[in-house]
Amino acid sequence: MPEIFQYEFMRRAFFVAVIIAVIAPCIGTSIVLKRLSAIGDAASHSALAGIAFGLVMGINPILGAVLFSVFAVLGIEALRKAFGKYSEIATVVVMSAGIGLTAVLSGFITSGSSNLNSFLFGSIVAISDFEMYLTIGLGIAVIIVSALLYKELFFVTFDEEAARLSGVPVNGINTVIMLLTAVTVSVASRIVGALMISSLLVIPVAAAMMVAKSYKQTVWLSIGFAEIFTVAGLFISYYMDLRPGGTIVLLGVIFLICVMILTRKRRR
Amino acid sequence: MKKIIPIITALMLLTSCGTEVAESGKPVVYTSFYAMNDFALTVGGGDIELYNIVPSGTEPHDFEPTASDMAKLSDADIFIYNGAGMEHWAEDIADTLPETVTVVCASDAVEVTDADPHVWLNLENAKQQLQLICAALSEADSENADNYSQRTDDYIAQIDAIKTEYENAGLNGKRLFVTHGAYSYLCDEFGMEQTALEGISGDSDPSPAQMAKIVDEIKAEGAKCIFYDPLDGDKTANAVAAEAGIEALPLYTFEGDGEGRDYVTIMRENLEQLKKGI
Repeated sequence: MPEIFQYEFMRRAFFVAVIIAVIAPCIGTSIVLKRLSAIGDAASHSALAGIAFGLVMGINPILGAVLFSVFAVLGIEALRKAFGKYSEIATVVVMSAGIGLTAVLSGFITSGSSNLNSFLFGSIVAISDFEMYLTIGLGIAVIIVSALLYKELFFVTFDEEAARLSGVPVNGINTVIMLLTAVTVSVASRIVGALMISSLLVIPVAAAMMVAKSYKQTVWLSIGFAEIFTVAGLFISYYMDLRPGGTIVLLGVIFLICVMILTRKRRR
Repeated sequence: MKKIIPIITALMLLTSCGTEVAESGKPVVYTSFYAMNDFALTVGGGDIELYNIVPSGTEPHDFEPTASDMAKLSDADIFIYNGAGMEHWAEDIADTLPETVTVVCASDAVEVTDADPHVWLNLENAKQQLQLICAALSEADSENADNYSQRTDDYIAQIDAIKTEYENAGLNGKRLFVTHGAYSYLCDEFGMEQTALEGISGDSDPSPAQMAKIVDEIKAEGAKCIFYDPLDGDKTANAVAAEAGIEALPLYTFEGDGEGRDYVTIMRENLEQLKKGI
């Protein structure tokens, strides 16, 4: 067994990272194609507020995160309609509210304020049993929902009007996408960090879109890409003594740029 | 003009909130965080009006004072902070306070290294810091100077007593594995050596390579436990402990986790944990 896998915490980190690398692009595909890339950021900043709230009130911070980010994404859905054409304002408004609330609430944390810091960048090397089972449960839920609602998700993602006319419950499907985003962001904030998770939602999908020729290909490729850079990122962070969360995200960005350069050459 | 009147009224209200005058006539003393607050309480007792800035349970390293903290500090008679890189915010605001506030940097009493601000965990340093605080209070309030030095002497006797207990605990030459490298002054005093998972501030998570390194060292050394600062939580300590098959034990830094217990009480609890783990 190679040195890196001798440690239980590294095996755990790999296991959880592989699951998150499936979940994140599954959801990411829908939100990127719906032009809602920034929703992950809004949800994660609100999740931070929820974490701070949990730490202040003495309840489980992940529970607080789920609560707040669900409110946030539902708030975005509601605000989006109010802003009409400029619907992206809704995301920024909710994100601002989230980060403001985090800053205010963090002033009241009395049970170890450094806890909040570990949610910013995650702590993939110290995953508790509870967090691992939570991630497994979430992974199963996301995969089942994505498989069952595959056609509906596809339809709603590309053409809400046509989907509505042919009898797809568009609002219901949108809510499901939003809720899954909120829960994923909250759970992952403990592991890869609240500031990192939104990039895992978007970057693999962005890279896949450069190459893929269909919706199906985009989903599968983005999962493949996400796996490549989370696993490679963990290896690199271990052997080069770097912070894992940041390494994974930077690797994703480099990967995306490489894909862009390669596909451009091919097109010419 | 009509608009200006409410603004002026609001401003006047604001400033009047800030200038609450102590009616008791006792010197008003503000301290930066728990350790300094406890020292000031030990020396000042009931003869001072004592307030703390960093709330209990909050990490003093990355604290930011609010506007009302600043307003209150400006009206204080004495502001005591540790310095030596412990509370950057306090060092920054110490220069901006009005001249009526006597600023006491408690680490001036001791020799500091750049690497670690937790000077008070060394019993000799704690005695020096108490004496410096005693001198500052006596100068500000000479009527009670005898009370201050009486209380300081009594407490130093207690510290000396616990120092003997530490010396007889067989700590010399032992290696301490800790999550937060805050104990170098304590280790120096009793001939121990600390190996820390994280830096001194304890506010970031370790990289996988750091985790692997400390687990290997613990196994090679055959250490029985890893100590963590309860203020930072036991998450990483538990991960290391589970990996190496050892125990995770709390070792107080007295930064903000005292919960009303005084210095000697905390240092005695630390001694019990050290005996358990070594």
